[in-house]
Amino acid sequence: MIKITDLEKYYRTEEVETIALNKLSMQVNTGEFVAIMGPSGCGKSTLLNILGMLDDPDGGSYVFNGVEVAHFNERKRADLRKHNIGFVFQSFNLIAELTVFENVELPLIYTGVPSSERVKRVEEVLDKMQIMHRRNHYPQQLSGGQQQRVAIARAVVNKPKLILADEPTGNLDSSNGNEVMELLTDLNEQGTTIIMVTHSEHDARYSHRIIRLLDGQTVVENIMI
Amino acid sequence: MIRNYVKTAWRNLWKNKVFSLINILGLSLGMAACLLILQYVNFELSYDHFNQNADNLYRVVNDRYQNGKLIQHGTITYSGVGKAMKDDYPEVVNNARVLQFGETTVTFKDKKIPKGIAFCVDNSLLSMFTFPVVAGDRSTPLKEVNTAVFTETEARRIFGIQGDNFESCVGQMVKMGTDTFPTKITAVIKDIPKNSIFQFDMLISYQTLIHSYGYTAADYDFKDSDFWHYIQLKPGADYKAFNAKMQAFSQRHFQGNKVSGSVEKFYLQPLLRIHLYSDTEYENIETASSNVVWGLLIIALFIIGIAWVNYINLATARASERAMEVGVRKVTGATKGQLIRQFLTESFIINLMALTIAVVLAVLFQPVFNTLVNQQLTLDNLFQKGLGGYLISAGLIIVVVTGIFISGFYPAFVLSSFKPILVLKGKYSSSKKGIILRKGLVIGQFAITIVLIIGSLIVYRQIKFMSSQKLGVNLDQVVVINGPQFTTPDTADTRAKAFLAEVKQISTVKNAATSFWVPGSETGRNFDIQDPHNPSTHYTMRFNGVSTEYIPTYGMTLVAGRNFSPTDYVKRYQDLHSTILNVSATKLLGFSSPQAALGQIMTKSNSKWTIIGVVADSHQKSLRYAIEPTFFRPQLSIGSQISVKMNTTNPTQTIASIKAVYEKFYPGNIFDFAFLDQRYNEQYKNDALFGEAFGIFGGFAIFIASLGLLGLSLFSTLQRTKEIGVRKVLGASVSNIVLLLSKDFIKLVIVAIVLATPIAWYILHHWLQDFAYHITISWWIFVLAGVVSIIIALTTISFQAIKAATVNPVKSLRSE
Repeated sequence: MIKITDLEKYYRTEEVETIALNKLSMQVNTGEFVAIMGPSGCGKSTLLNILGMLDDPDGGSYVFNGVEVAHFNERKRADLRKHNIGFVFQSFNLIAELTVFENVELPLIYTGVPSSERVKRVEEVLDKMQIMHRRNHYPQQLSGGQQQRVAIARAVVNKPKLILADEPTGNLDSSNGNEVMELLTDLNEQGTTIIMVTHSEHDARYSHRIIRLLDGQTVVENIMI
Repeated sequence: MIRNYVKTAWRNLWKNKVFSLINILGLSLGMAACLLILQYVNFELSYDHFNQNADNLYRVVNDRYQNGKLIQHGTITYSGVGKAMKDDYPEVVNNARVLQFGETTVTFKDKKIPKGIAFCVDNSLLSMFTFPVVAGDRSTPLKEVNTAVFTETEARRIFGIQGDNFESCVGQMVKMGTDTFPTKITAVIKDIPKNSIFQFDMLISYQTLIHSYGYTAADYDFKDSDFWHYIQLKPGADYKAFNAKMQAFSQRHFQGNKVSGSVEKFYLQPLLRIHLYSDTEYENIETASSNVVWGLLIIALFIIGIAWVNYINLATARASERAMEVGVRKVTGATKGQLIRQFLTESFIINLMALTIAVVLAVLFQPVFNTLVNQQLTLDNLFQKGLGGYLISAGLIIVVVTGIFISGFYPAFVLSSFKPILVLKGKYSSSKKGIILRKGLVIGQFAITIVLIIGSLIVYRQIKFMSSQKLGVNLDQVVVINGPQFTTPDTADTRAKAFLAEVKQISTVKNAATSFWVPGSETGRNFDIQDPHNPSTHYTMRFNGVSTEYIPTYGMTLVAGRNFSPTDYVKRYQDLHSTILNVSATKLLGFSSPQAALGQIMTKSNSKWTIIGVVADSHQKSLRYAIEPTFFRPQLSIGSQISVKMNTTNPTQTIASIKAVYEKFYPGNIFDFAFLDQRYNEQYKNDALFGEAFGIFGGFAIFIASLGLLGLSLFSTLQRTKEIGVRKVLGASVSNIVLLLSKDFIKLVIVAIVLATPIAWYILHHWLQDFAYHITISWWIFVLAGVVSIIIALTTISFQAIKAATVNPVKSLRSE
């Protein structure tokens, strides 16, 4: 599904140039659950952003579903992104002014799904995430675990092929964290490819494969049994 | 999609109540001020557009030069000019002569009804201007001698017509003023629109003037310049090209200064410019100041601009708060275009809410505003046919739409270009560009308000200067009464003397006099005064015909010689021979001192006058105009104005006593009086309006700008809560903190002062040049305006700063 070759990314300030990704190459197949680990500043998030087409690389190739996307402009990337990729963040990033229902509905609005269809699909996914009873609440009225379930619901409502999760349990206690990891595992078992950045060895164990980064390069890959 | 935008916008507004209130309050006040001002501007610009021929109608302006100097810049000219133009130039298709009659009493079946305004005009005026006939002769109602046309209202007033049966008064006979002959009503016309320079109740046929009054000079003459002319050019004719031919015209009919004693320069003034762009003397129509109109329009745009700037500043300052939302929307698939549309929708909603409130405010404040501008305006005026049609209304819509876009677009653009991943990680910090723009806009807002503060101070001081300046005539407790219309010329002389003597008998009356004109009105000019040392040179002077008591009644100072004595008055004008000059007149005639002029002969129009006295210069007109050389002659005339100087604590009672005497001497006349100081100060009506508008709308601008500053300081203190906490823990005092928070804003205000000062000086220096007598702009006005704006800014900021500085630091640090 994903094949990146010699991917490069630099950050420049006036005086210093920092290399975030240094000719990184890797591949993720459809249906895989991959964890990316590494110390702070190793380029994990940069990689995730490029994979999620939120940022563009400075060099190298990125083939998504057989299409070279490294040179795509913002509009094309946004288009590809909204139909194929769902995001889950550490800090949930729910919009405070929208209710649970409306937050989850948002991706459907942007992909132009008609209203009646939207209601059906949002209800379906809220039901699956066991958060239906909170549909008319605002994010700040929910617990952290509930908020992350809403965020996951939002990420999957469009039935994306790929979910990118950036430390999804980082702001949760262990029981809520486990619940989220179970949810991601379920999604993966139903066929969704998942790439997750994490600091937690415990969470990484839910994945099929761990890619360890250091200074923008792959240092080791562990295949989980 | 739209529903989602509206929903988020609405919830955002609701969540940030303070910022929303600041935005909506500022915008609605700004828009309300704009709506009110635009009504006025649109009304003033709509003058005469109702005339179907408006584009082809012109007024003749006549400048007169003597010895190379402009001595009269007037709209009055010679009766032959219009016809001569029509005869000489094929592009002139029509012309009309006009003479002002002023307030005229109409007598119908022995009932005298006063106060109708009359003009004496050629029949052609009715086909040139759009004054539709509703009853009677539709084509030539004013062709014959002794005919008149009434407006609907005047017809109702004189004939008591009910409903629309105006045909019933056509053919009726009335008497105008003191006429002994009857005048026939030939037609009734629609009431004159309010936005017409001509305002009248009746028109009398010009032929009446020539044939019934025997005023032959009114027909076709090149010596008496007492008439107004309107000209209609062929459609498409260029009046500038026509004006270029006027030198030859003047030479042909006036042969330099041979015919009239002065060199005549003629030009056409387009009808549509008359109302706002007339600085001419001897006006008989409605004029207003274009300075006031355009000045107010600019102020209106400034005020609304300041409100929009508030919106932009608050939106961009708070961008970081919206950043997360933008990030989320982007990762869930929003394109930049969708986000821009979302924020534009938000700005549209706010502007729409503000506009709704503004309309309500405008309706509520309409009466106050109408009093200020002395008009009967409504929101309908916004859609009146104005400058080239609906330009101002169209302009208003364009301005509002652009405003929504400008105020919405920048925030939309800034917000939508956030890198989602950065903001979602909380790494958003406001861009440098944004901060510079915000600072620039605040400086701009304050520069404008400072210009307005300086403007109102200087205009106020100039008006105060003019009304407190010694005029050389004392108008205090002087009542002016219109001279009697109904009395016979042969008795006028003796009766006036007896009347004045009896008025003076009233214990609370100090003195009483008659004169052709009273201070504050435009006196006549004589263009044929010989230089005593060089008889071939001619000069022009103002003149006034006065009774013996005029000089003492007005407290004028005799600097040489004596006042008129009763023996100076003789019945026949040809036998008059004594005159009193003002000091300027003695200088004009080349006398070395007032004393030197005494006993000398002044020759005017081939008659000889002995100078018996010299009075100090005094202001006949407002201080906008320079004092002109003037001579006084001893003359009693019917219709002279009566001035009564009172010394009373009960003016009502004194005026009642004067009225009793007036009615005894002049039975059948209407006693119509005014306090002269009030009437004199009406000359400053436009200037006062300018000053008040500057002050009031300047206040609006300051308030709205302060709202914006309040919002920004609120935001910056919120942002710096933690910093303040840390500083307090480290020992900063409350005043340290307040200073810290105010410093940045005060710097901006100081830059604004530096920018505003030269701009304000430039504008007001120019404005003052319109006044022959004006204040000098003192440096302290700028200092005062600067101090005032700093105080306003400081007060605004300190609300927030003090609150933030006194918060317990533990609280602000705990929120981590």
